[in-house]
Amino acid sequence: MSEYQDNVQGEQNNSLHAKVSELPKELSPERDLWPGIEQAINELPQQSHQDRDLNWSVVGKVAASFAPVALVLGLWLTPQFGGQPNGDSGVFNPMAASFDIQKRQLLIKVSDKQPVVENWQQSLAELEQAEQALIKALQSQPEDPALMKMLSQVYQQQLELIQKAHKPEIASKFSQI
Amino acid sequence: MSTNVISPAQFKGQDLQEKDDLLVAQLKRGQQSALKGIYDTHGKRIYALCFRLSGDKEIAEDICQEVFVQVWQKIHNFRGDSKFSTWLYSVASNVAISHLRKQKSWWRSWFGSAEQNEAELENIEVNDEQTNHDLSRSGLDKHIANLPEQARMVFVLFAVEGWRHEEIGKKLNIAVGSSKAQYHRAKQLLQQALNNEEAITGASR
Repeated sequence: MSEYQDNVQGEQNNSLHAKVSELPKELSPERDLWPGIEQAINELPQQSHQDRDLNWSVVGKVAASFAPVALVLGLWLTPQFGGQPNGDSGVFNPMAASFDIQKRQLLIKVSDKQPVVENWQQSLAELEQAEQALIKALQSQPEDPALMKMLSQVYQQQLELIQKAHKPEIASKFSQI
Repeated sequence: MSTNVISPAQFKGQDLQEKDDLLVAQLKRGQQSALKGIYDTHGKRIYALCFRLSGDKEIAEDICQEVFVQVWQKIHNFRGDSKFSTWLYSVASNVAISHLRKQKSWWRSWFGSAEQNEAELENIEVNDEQTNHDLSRSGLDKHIANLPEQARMVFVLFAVEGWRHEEIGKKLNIAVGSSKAQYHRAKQLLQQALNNEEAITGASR
């Protein structure tokens, strides 16, 4: 290619480049697109919100079904009796770490007491399922404050469940439900 | 003297990002009004991208709507690792490419014979309807819309959106060399169209 052709092509490229940089960043569609979008999203749920609702239904069921008792799960969850600390929850330190310590201490504390409600371990297991679902959701959305709040509430419910299942005066209220 | 002075443009950009952050948080809580806010803020830019990739006003409108429905459904996939607008344009490109893949013209464009492609090359002309359309303020959009599909997509992604050929190759499932060749082809076609337009405009004066 000759020098002249090179120059011509160079000028043309510059001209095209200039036109590209002048392209408007925004263009207006001829029709209003929002009504169609609005209609579509009314029929389609957000994917993760659906999952969250599902998780909360588990938590809701548990809250409504604090029932009978067994000590075995508490012993199993206690490391000194062979239980394993929750590895996944380490991701959400320090909240998860603090909870793990409180839960273990509480389980050790109540391990020599007779539980006053049956099946409390089943309720605890369901709360733990909710906890795992929330941790899984948080692994993909670690900054989500709503998920963090729910996890915190699930932790709190577990501690309350263990405590209440071993307090006669409160257990009597559960037996009336 | 302190050099940490925020320019008006930076300040505006910062405002926009803060607004985006707020809307994203609301959207993650399931507030539909937040999606409307995002649409009002970014809708025209997303439409511009969809129009340039598809080269068709109606297809672009469909794709644009699909983009915002996807944002509604998949907002929880946005982790905040990048700016929201970056994520949004990435979603828009993906939706557009996926949508266009389903079109018959896509396959014809990528697997058509050399003769067909050359014929398309000759078909670059000024379309009156598009010339008069208010989309074409710069005059270049109408020519981009008339490019053969593969050349148009590569040109838009590379020259307008600033993607690298490696990224384009990966996204369109073509070799990097093909992406570069299509870009070169698009440039030639656009230059030819601009020259023709200039000749016609000059002759009519």
